[in-house]
Amino acid sequence: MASKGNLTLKSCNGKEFIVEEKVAVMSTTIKNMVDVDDSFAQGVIPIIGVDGKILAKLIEYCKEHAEADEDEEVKSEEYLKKFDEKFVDELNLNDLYDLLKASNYLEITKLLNLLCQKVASMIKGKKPEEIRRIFNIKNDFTPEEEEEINRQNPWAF
Amino acid sequence: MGLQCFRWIHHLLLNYGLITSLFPPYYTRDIQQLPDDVIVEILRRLPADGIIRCLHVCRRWRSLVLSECFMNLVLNERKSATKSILVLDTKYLRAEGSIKYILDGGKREEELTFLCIDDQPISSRRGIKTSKIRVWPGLEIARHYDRFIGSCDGLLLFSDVRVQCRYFVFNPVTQKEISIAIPPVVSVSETILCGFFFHSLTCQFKLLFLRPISITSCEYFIYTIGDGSCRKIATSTHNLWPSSYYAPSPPAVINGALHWIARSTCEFANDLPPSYCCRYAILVFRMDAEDLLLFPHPGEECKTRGTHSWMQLVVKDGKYLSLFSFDCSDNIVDIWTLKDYSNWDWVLELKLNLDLVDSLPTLERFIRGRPEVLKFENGQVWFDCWMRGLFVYSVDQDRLITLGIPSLFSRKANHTSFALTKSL
Repeated sequence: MASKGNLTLKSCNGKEFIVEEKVAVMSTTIKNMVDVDDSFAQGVIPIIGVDGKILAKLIEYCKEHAEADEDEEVKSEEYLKKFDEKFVDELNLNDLYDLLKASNYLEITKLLNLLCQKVASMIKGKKPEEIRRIFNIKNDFTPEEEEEINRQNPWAF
Repeated sequence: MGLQCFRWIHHLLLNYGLITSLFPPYYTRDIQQLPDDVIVEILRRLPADGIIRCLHVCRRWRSLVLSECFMNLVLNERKSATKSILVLDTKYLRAEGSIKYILDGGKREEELTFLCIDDQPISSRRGIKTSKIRVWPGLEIARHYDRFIGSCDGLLLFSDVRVQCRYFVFNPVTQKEISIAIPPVVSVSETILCGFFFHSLTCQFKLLFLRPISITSCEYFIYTIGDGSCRKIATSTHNLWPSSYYAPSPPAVINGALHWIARSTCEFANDLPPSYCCRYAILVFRMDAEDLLLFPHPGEECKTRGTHSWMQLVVKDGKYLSLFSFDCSDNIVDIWTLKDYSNWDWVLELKLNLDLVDSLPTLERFIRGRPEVLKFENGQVWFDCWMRGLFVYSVDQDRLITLGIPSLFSRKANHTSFALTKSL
């Protein structure tokens, strides 16, 4: 198996992306597929449940980081930090959820960490009702349960 | 005016399609569709109060936060817990990002409340941020706490007013408590608890006791919270022990060791090098080796055979050991920093001349008593001067900010203040 070969990734809506292997194997899931079965390296790897838009985003991220891993001088830590910041800032909630799901499924740990940190920073310092509003979460406690919970942690607010 | 308003609405309606396209539909997908492990990944990154609030968001988040899996994840990552402490849910405080100072107020028959002062450098009295932590009245500790002894990794240690040598370990964030009974080998009336610490190699919380055998010698015991084991440690430093016999100041914990100012009970400290005649020295307990060592305090060869008015060790900026030494004769506080730990190389960082400080009469009087340095961070020294409350000395500006007694207490309460150790 050529280590510098290209791989073809196919999104669930049929879009194909040709990427360098070093970029694709940022995903542990893809790496395992390629390692186990050589035929994936030649053929097309279907990325189930990830559409073209999200897959393009994933590839954009992996490309930057794979290149940085290879040559630290070209892309400094500082540069990557800025890239990461910009990357998450440009996402809307839907993209954020989709990317979270995809990076979890594809095991792109670095990206998963970055995205989780982003969501955590949106939760941080917010009251429960604000958190529900931001993420459109239904309050499924009964009033009695809520009272009981508030009694347990009255100082949490 | 009214008309304009209508026109605007009309305009808005006409361009409804355009406007909605400017705001992408944020809520078509749902955070709840994410798998549990992703939600856990998100929640574990929150500070303690953030995690607590997530208990109130919805059932799913609540059950995730309360799950054993989540607890273990947070605990393992931060290497904070002994098996028994798991019951205490130390996770929340371990997750706390900032150091806070907690004042113990209120009386036993009343409600026990803590006041947290946020860990921010302050520029004025008004700039201080506080929050209250009420202790759940149903807890043992709320009714039976006697005296605050120490804080370690966000946990608080109190003695039990009912029985000697019984203690409570309490987590103020999770409101969990455990009661510890010290085995009879140590538990005699004269035992002094001088350290509450977390041993990071074994991940155990431990207590260091000393028991005076005679006026001039003592022995040390280590008690492990969790397995309840207790052992005597060998030491040659038996005639020096942490000064202030009944309630030694909490040790300064840094570099895997605990540090106290120790005072010899003899006229001369025989354990120290001959050139060094001071009765005071720095006692170091190394956690991994579990042994005790003595080092001289900084300054020229000290021939003081009397008593130093006041000396205290604190950790500066989480990195250095710092010593505050006050001499009544010149009214100056020497602030030393241990720049090179392995060579025991101290640097005199600052001479704080109390004559120059504006609130001199206040501070000076209480320096002569037993003030506490709570912390030395970001160029600010926090003093607790008992009934006078808190003071913050800003090194750069050479300025003293008087905070007084925080407003939790309507009367001038007999408070105790202490620093919670940084956890993350």
